[in-house]
Amino acid sequence: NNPKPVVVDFHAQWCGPCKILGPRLEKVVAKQEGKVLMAKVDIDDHTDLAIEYEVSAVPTVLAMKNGDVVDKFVGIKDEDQLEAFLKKLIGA
Amino acid sequence: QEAAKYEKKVMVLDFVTPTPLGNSWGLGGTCVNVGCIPKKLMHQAALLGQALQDSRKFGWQFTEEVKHNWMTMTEAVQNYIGSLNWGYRVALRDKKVTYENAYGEFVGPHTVKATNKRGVAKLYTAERFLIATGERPRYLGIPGDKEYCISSDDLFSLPYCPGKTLVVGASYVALECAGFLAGLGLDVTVMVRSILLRGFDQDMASKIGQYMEEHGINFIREFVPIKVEQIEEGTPGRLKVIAKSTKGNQIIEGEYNTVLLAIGRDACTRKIGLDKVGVKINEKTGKIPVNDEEQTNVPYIYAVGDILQDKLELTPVAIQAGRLLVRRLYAGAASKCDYVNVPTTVFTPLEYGACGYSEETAVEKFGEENIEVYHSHFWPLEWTVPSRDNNKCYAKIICNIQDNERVIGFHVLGPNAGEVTQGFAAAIKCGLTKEQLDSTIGIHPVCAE
Repeated sequence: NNPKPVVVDFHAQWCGPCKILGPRLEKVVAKQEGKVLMAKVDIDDHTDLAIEYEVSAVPTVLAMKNGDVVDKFVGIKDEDQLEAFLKKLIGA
Repeated sequence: QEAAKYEKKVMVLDFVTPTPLGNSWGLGGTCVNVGCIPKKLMHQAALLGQALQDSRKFGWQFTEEVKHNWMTMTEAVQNYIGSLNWGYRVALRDKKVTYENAYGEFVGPHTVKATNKRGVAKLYTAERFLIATGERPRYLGIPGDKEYCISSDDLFSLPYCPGKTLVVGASYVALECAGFLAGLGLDVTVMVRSILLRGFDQDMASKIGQYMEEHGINFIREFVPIKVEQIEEGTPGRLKVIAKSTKGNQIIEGEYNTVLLAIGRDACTRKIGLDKVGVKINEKTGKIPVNDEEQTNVPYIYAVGDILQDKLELTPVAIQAGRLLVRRLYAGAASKCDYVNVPTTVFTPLEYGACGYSEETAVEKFGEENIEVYHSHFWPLEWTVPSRDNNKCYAKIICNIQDNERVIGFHVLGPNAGEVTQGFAAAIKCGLTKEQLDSTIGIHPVCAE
């Protein structure tokens, strides 16, 4: 429902790579100065949501615009890659 | 998953009733959550501790004292289990199997009621049902047992180091847990009512016990706890255990941080409405008798796993039985699960792998004069340099003289017993004879040779 684009970070307590990606993604999102929002979903707490959005492995990050999933990636990315991912979402 | 492959509409009802201490877990059953998986990982943690000690003899030099951190290990083990739980959710979803985290019970013919953790109930009907509800640890039925004692259902996710531990029982669960707890550096005592590892080859069982005793695990034999009291609350707290001799009136007391009960497991068949659909169970044990096609006395209801009467309580057996059953029902297959010559391994500090008859069962079935036992101690090469026991590792095979000296029993006590035993199980399935074994050249230098 958000007029702004939203990036959704599906993660789990038991997932090592998620613990690395989480803070890195937060940092890059903060750099966009409010142009994109971020939601974090623990797949064990919100399993139905994770299943609905077809999450298999974690971390899975979805880019959403006007309620639609317009982009996604699975696994760790470095800051430059995250920057590009977010710029594409904001620009699109 | 197998049934869904054949375009069947499938639902799974999985629900874990919390332990007396409130512990629960995710999808995957006992093995994944509170059995084989965490057990083997913690056994490995203990083995690594021993390896660190051995490593000095191989030239590794470290000056810091080596200590074990229970929380680091437990968190890592639980994280792995979490990934397995999730993996199963995804697998079921991908195969289009409907999963409900709800307690299932029969309410009438072809009908189950599924109640979720919020108490909301739904009814479902199906053409066929498979019961695989497994077992849960038994309690002693003495004052203080449920309030203060833990079981294997609690141990593998315990949020604090158990400290000085009393393990009650002589099952493989008791001995494996006692084994790794001691291997991690804890003060461990095992209280045994009568014999060790009932149902296993007793010659091997006594060697396992002897090894554990010689390696720092205390055994109190022929006693049973009659009361557990709390001296002090804490994580861990302090508990007083009062025990009575099974051979007289002697009473003893002991103080421990943790009391782990491992005296047996009871089938979860009493509260799932089997009476409503007429499924017969053994009233004494709760186990379900089935025919050789895993069918209960009610034609549309089947059962697999630990709840079956007179069958082995092993994960791979349950999985195999379930898969073959489904293929027989929906894919026109005819294969039945072979419950004979199933290999197993007990992951005590000195591991024990076995396939086939124990010596006593072989003697009973074939007669002492008709069996020949070949045996040997062996000293693993890796144990020589660090000067570890040179007369503890042991292997024996039991042969049927009347049938070409067919190998009908295989027993090995030593490192990597599971890895060693697996291949021999396949050979035994093919009818391995002593002569064939003799003509198989060994791999050198390994224990299996």
